[in-house]
Amino acid sequence: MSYGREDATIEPDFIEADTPMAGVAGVAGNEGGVSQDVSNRGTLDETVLETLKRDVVDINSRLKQVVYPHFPSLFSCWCNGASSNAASENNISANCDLWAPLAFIILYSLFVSHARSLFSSLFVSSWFILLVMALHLRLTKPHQKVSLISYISICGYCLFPQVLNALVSQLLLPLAFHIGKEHRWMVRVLSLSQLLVMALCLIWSVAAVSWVTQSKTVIEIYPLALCLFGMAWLSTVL
Amino acid sequence: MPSNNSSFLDIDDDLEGVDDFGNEPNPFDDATVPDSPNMNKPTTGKDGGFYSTMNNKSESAAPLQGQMDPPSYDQVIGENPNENSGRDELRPGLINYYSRYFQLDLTQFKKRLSGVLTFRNDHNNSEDSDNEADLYGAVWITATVVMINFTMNGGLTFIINNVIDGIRNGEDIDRASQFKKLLHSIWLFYGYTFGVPFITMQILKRDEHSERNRQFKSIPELISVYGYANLIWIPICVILNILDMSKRLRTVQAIQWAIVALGWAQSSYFLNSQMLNNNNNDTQESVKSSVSIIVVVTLHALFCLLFRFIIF
Repeated sequence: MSYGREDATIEPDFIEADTPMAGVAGVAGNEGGVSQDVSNRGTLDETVLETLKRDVVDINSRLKQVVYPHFPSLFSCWCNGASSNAASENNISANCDLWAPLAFIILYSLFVSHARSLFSSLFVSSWFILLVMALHLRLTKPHQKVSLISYISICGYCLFPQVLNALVSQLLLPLAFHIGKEHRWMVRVLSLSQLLVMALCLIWSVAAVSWVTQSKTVIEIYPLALCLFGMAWLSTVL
Repeated sequence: MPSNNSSFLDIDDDLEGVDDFGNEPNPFDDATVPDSPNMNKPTTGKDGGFYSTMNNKSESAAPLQGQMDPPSYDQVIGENPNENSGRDELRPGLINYYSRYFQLDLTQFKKRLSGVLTFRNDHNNSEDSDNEADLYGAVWITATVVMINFTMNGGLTFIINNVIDGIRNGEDIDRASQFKKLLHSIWLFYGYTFGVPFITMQILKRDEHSERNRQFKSIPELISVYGYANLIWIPICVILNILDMSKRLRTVQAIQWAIVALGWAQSSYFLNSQMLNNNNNDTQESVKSSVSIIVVVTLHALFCLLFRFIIF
């Protein structure tokens, strides 16, 4: 019947979505190959765990592109690198997903709100901040052919340091507070380390977002930094 | 042709006869041309004219040739984003339409910022060339003010209690008041910066001394003036937040009032100088206050009072 024909139309779609990931990450290559052979009908037949695993691997490979590389290559890129920027720029506009921003925002607002009623407002306002950042990038760079959605995706990836910040300053440091029995010097040290973590994560994410979107002047970077500072501040103080 | 619904078929029919012309290069190249929107646009409005010209081939051949020569598709599409003048024709619904208000370089921005703070009102007169409106300042200066109002109080409390005193008061911080401050400063500042210019524009238009006022061509120009006038609130909000730590004292309250009044004076001076700067020399001698200026200053004073009462 028409089953075979449908099968033929779905399969290339799946391969197309899978191959860039296979090219990026070696682990994902094996994974993708196996799942292709086993399930001919895209993501419908595979187990949920498999899909989740694939998404996580995908997000991680994108994080490698967007957020990770700035530890070693940040200064060299600010000094001279234009070629590597161009390479990553191609990747930016090529594939964008909203899974990672969604995951990061959920994690962020979960950490910050302690799963209380604040969650929904944090969730909405995080998306709003992302939208503002993307709009700013879109408005200041009208000549780059990157759509609003992919800017949202990029900025969402750059929220990863903020998630770490929220995790550390909302979960790990309060644990240390409990262990430290609220001694005065303990409180001082932990508050200072909270501020320090916030500053580090803020610098990290601002550097990442400005590197990925190739914004060099203060005009372009400052609003992004302001938005990210808002999120970092929320996770520190709330 | 009685049923003249599709022009494409009509032209095909007509082109049968084109074979008779020897000097015509290759008429079947032209057969695809009327599909393009560029060809159809000027003629489809009046169908009768279109068909009449298509019927006698001596006329139809010339425009077709003329339109075929350039690679019209790519050029027209490629031209618009690259040319700056092409953006003027964009509709206001598009994002790219607004992007022209966000194009400014650092030196220009610094020049404008220093122009606000240093009372040089003849500053913008000298360079009318780059005196375009930008909404960047209006949006992000206001955002900075809002952010300062939101974070500074909590930040100072955090530093004083946790870092200096070493007392952890995680649950004691008055978060509700912080968020109230955030919401109030958002609606107040953004409402004032982006809403009041619409009123001021109408007032400036209807003023009887309108020849004295600067002719604002568009609302965004006026919004940008209001946005840059917000710059003075950045230091003022910092100072007020610091003073707010010890709110009980009466002298502190008096100082806060004085600072708000200073901010009002500076920003209303800036607004006036921006609105009057069209013919600067004439207005300096006749300082007669016109109605529009009074209204602007009154609105601004109202805004300052609201700022003082609601946020602090």
